[in-house]
Amino acid sequence: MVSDMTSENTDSVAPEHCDDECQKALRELYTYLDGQLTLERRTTIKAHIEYCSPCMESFSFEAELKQVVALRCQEQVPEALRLKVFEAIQWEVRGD
Amino acid sequence: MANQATFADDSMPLMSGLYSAALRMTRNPADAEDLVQETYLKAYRAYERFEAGTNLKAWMYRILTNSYINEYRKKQRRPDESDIDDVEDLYLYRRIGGLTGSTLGRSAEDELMDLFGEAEVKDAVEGLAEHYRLPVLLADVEGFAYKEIAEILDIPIGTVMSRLHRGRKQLQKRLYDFAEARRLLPDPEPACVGADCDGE
Repeated sequence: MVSDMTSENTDSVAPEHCDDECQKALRELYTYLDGQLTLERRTTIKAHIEYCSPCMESFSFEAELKQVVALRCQEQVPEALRLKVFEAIQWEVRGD
Repeated sequence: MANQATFADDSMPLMSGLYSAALRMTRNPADAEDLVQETYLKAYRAYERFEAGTNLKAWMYRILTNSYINEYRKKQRRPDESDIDDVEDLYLYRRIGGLTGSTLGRSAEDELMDLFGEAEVKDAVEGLAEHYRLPVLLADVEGFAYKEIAEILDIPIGTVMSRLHRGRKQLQKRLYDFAEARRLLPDPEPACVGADCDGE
């Protein structure tokens, strides 16, 4: 399932001078970060990035970027909205 | 079967995520509030049909997304769908990867947090073409699995993955363009990707 999409990115991920292991790892970088790889693929990639520092760096960068995007998009719910929704539900409850 | 009496307790903790997503979708606080309220009312009315013990969060996001698509999307101008075919993978890393982590004692995350403030990241996400924006939001901000996103958006899992792939590239391009426009970046020195880069 997971490998479906990787085929379409084959050419664009890594420059030619990278070795095969790097290319494979980079192709699955986001699937790895998303926690969507099989345990077997995950273990293989983890082993690769542990000794390949350029790959490790790009993996860390993408992981941190993903984290920053998530953090920056958090919103505080306005108290008025919380109240409005709560009251609307209570209204529905009474209307039953 | 879920019990309507427990709906508020079960669902209220999900509100900040739903509201964040609603804001990124509608790009407007008033519409986001209406969308969240509508989502809660629809969910409450349908709660007896929700199978207790299954994924409530995904179910609520599905209602949110459907409400958005059916009622709010029409009001939106068509977002800028700039061509992303020429955006390579690791677009941002290749351009600014060398910057982050360069200062001793600071993590790349801190550097990225400095570079991209709240307004910039929100802008970049909100500017994504919609069929990329929703998967990116659900994966990167809400942390849903591909299978859950496929169910929420009612599209095949392969489509989720390819839209995520393209959406993230578009997002990186937007972030980079922003930083470049603000002259936050020194001259680009391409970061090394993969092994054997020393000889370049």
